[in-house]
Amino acid sequence: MTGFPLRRQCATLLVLMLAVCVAGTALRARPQNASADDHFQLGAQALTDGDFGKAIKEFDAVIAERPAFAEAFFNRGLAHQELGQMADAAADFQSALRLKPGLRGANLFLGIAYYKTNDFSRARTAIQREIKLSPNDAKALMWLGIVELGAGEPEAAIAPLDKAAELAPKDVDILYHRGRAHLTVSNRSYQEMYEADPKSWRVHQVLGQAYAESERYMDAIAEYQKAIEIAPNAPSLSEGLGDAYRMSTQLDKAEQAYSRELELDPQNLMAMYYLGEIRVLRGNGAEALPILQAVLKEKPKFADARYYLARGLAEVGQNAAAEEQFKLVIQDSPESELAQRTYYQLGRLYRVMKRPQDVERAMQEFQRLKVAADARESANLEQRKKAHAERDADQNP
Amino acid sequence: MRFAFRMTAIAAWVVSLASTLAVSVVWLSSATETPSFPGTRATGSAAFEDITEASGINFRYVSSHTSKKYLIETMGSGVALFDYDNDGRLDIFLVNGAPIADPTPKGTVPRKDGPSTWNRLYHQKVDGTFEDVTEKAGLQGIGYGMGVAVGDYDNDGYEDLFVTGYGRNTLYHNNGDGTFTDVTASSGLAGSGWSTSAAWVDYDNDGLLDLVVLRYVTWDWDDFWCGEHREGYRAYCHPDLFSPIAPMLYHNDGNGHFAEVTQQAGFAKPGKGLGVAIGDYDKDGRPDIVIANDSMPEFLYHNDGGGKFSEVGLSSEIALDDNGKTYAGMGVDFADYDNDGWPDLVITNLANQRYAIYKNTGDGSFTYASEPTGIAAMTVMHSGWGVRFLDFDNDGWKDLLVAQGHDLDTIELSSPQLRYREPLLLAKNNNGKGFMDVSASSGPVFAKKWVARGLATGDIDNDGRIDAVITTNDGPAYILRNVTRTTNHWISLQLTGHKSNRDAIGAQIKLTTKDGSQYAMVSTAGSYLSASDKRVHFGLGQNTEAKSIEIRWPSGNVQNLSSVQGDRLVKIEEPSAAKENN
Repeated sequence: MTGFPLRRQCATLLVLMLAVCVAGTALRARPQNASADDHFQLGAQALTDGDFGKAIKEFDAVIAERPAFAEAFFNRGLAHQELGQMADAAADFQSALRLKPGLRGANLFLGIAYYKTNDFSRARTAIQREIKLSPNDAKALMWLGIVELGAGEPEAAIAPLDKAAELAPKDVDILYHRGRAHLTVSNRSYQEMYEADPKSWRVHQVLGQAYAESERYMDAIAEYQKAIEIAPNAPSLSEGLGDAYRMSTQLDKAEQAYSRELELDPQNLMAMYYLGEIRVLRGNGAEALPILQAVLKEKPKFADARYYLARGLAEVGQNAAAEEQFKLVIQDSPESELAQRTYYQLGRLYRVMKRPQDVERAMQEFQRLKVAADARESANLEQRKKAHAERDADQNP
Repeated sequence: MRFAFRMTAIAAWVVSLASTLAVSVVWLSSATETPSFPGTRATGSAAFEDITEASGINFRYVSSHTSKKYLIETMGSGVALFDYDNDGRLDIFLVNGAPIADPTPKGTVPRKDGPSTWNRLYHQKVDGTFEDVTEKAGLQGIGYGMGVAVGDYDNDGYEDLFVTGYGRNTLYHNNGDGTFTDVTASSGLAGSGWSTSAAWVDYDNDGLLDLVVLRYVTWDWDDFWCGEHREGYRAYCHPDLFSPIAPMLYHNDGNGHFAEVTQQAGFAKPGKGLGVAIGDYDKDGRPDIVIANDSMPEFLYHNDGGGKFSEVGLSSEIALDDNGKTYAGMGVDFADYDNDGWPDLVITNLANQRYAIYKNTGDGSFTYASEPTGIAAMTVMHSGWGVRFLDFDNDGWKDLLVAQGHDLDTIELSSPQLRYREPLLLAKNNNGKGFMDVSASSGPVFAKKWVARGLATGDIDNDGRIDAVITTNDGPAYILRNVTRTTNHWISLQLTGHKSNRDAIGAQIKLTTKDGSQYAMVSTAGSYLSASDKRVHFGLGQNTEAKSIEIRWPSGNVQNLSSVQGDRLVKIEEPSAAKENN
C-alpha cells in the first residue's frame, strides 16, 4: 500500500504532461467552429489548473459541437480519471480510440482506468496495445509492470520494468516498482522454498546470504554451516562460508572453506582469488602464487588479483617480479585507490630491496594520491556539513 | 637547581639502599597462595575478579551526555595507578568530567560543579581497601578532565600528576605530605584545546622528565547532526569532520618551568592524537614516541638526539595497516611481545578495523602482524581503547588486556552486529608466536559489558600478579584483581635514577633466565588516557631467579646484576659509576 501515493503522484504527473501535450496537438488541429475552439482551450487550461469539473464542462461543449473530435474525448477522459470517475474515463478513452485508433496515450490511460478499478486483465490488454504503438515508452512499460504487480503476477512484471529501467535509468518511480517486483519475486520464491522444505539447505543458504549482506557474519557462518551439513557437496555454499569467515577476518577458516569450494568447483575464480589473497595475508605467498597466476590467466585485467600476486611475490623474495606486477597494477589505473595502496607496497618492497630513492619516490606517490583522496573526502564532508546545516536551519528556523 | 631537588630526595630514601649490589629486597610474596597445579609448568585457568565494591572505591565518571552529542562526551576518561605516598602500595587516581550545558555555546570551558564531578584520589590502606583522600590531597580538579600522566618531574621522590582536559591542563606537584599543589601557572603547562593522553619522558636524557601532551582535534562545541536525521539516531560525529591539531612537547627546564618546544623539536605535525607510548624502537639509547591518531596515519617520532625528532611512521611502516589504509587509532602500547629484544607496538581501533600489531623487524621498520598473530580475527568485531602488554600468568610472555566498547551509543541501530557495551579482551601470548583469546575462561568479569575506555595496570596487592583498573564512559571504574592460579614465578623491579630521572623512565631492562631473555622499558605511559605502575614486572615461568639483569639507564650507565632471586620486588638504585658490573 505504501506504493499507492507514489503511483498516484506519478499518474498525475503523466496525466498533466499528456494533457498539455494533447491539448497542444488539439489546438493545432483547430476545430472549424470557433466556439468549439474556445471551449477546447478553456478545457485544456482547466485541466492544467486542476479544475477538472470545469474541464469536463468545456470538453462536453466541444464534443457537443464536434462529436468526432477524438482529442476532446481523450481530454475529458483525463479529467474524469483525475476525479476518480473511472467508468466515465474509460468510456471517453474508448471513444477517442474508436475515432483515432493510433492516438498516443489513449490506450495507456484506458489501461490505468481499468487498473484503478482492479480490472487487471483489460488494463493489461490496453497497455500492451500502447506499447505496441510506442515500444520504447518507458512509462507505458512501467504501468504494465504495475498492472502485473496488481494482478499478483510479479514474475510478469519484471520484464517490462527491467526494460523501462533500461530506457530511463534515473527514473526513481520506475526503479521503485522494479525493485518491488524483484523483491516480491524473491520473497515469494523464498517463501515457496521454505514451505516446500523448511529444512532445505537452500533456506539456510538464503539466510546465510541475508546475514552476510547485513554484516552479521557470525549468523551467516552458522547458516552456511547448517546448509553444508545438509548438502556437503553443493557448490557455492563453501564459497559463501568462506566469504563470511573472510569478512570476519577468520582467515584460517576462510582458507579452509575456499579450498573446499575449489574441490567441488575447481573453476570458481572468486574462490580462487580469495584463497590466494588470504594466503598472501597469512604470509603464505608461496602457496598463493599459482592460484593467483591461474586467476590472472583467465582474467588478466583483474587488478586486485594482480596486486595480491605482487604481494605474494614480494613475500617469497621474488622482488623484481613483484615490482613488475605492482607497476602493472598502477599502469592499469594510475590514480585509483588501488594504485595508492600499491605505491605503499612498492615503497615497502623497495626498502627491502635497499633502494632508498625508490622508496622515497613510491612513498611520495602514495602521499600524493592520499592527499588527493583526502581532499576529495574533505570536499564531500564539507558538502555534508553544509547540507546538515541547511537541513538544521530548515527544521529549526 | 636540579641537584637541589636530588639532595632532598636522597635523604628520604637512602635507608633503602642495601648491599653493594645497590639492590634492596623490599618484601617477598608468593603468587601461589591459591591452589596450584602440581607438575604443571604452564598456567591454570586465568582469572581476574572484580573487587571494586570490596575495595571501597565508588567512582562514577560523569560525561554529561547531551542531545547535541558533543564528541567529547564519549571519549573519557583516564586512570592512574601510582604510589603517591611511597608506602609501597599502589593508589588510584580517577579523572572525571564536568557538567555540559545542552546546548553549549562556543568558547565554553566547562567547570566542575561539585563532588559528583570531582577527580578522585583513592589511597590504598594496609588492608588493601581504599580511602578517598581527594579533598585532603587537593585534587578535586577544575574542568572537564580526560587523561592523566604520572611522573616525578622535579626528582623529589614523589610522583606528580598531570591531568589533561578540555580547554586547560593541570600540573599537580606532590608535596610529599599527602597533598598536591596546582602549579600549572608557574610550570607553563596549561596548554590549550582538547588534550587527551600525555606521557612523561626524558627525551634528551638530561635527568629531567619532559612532557608530551596529545591533542585530539580542533573542536569547539560544534553542533553538527551526524547519523540519521530522526529521533534517537543522532550519533557522535566522525573525527574526519574536524581538523587535526599538533601535540605539545614541553622541555623540563629544571626549575619547575617547562618550555614549549613543539616546533623546534620537529614535533608539530598535526594529528588526531588519542594514545601515546614511549619505547626505543631502534635501540639507539634515546626514547622514541608513538602516537595513535584517530582515522589518519599513526605517528612514530624518532628521537634524533639534540632535542630533535623526525616523524617516521610511514617509512617505518606503522602509519597504516598492511593494505596501506588508515584506521581509528585510540590506545597504544610499546613492548617486546616476542622477546626478540625489539619493542613492538599494539594500537587499538574501532570495530571492522582489527587492532594493529606491529612487529619490530630490528632494521628500523615494523611488520604489520595482526593476521599472523591472530589479533585480527579476535578483534574485528570489537572497539578497543586502553591496552596494555602484561604477563598476567607470569609465563615470561607478555599478554594483552584491552578495554573495549564502541564510541557510538547508536551503533546497534546502524550496525546490529556490533555492540556499544563490550566485554574486556584478554589475549594470551603463545610463546611470542601469536595470541589466543582467553577472555571466556578468565572469570565472570569478562562476561560483563562495559563502555570501557581507560586502562591502567600494576600489582595493586603486591602478590606478584598484575592487576588492572578500568574506567567506563559515564559509568563506574572497576578494580580487577588478578587471581590467576599459576606455579610460575615473577620478579618486579623498581628503579631509582640518580644521574637519570628519578623515575628511571626510559631505562631499558634485559632480564635473562634459563628460558631466554625478556626486555622492557620503564614507563608510566601507554594505553589510553591512563598511567600505569612504573615498576617493571617480569614473569619468570618456572625459574625461581633471573640469571642476569642488565639495565641501561637513560644517563648511559649500564648496570648488570646476576642471580637475582624472584618472587619479590627488587629496588635498584642507579649506580654512580659510568658502568657497574655485579
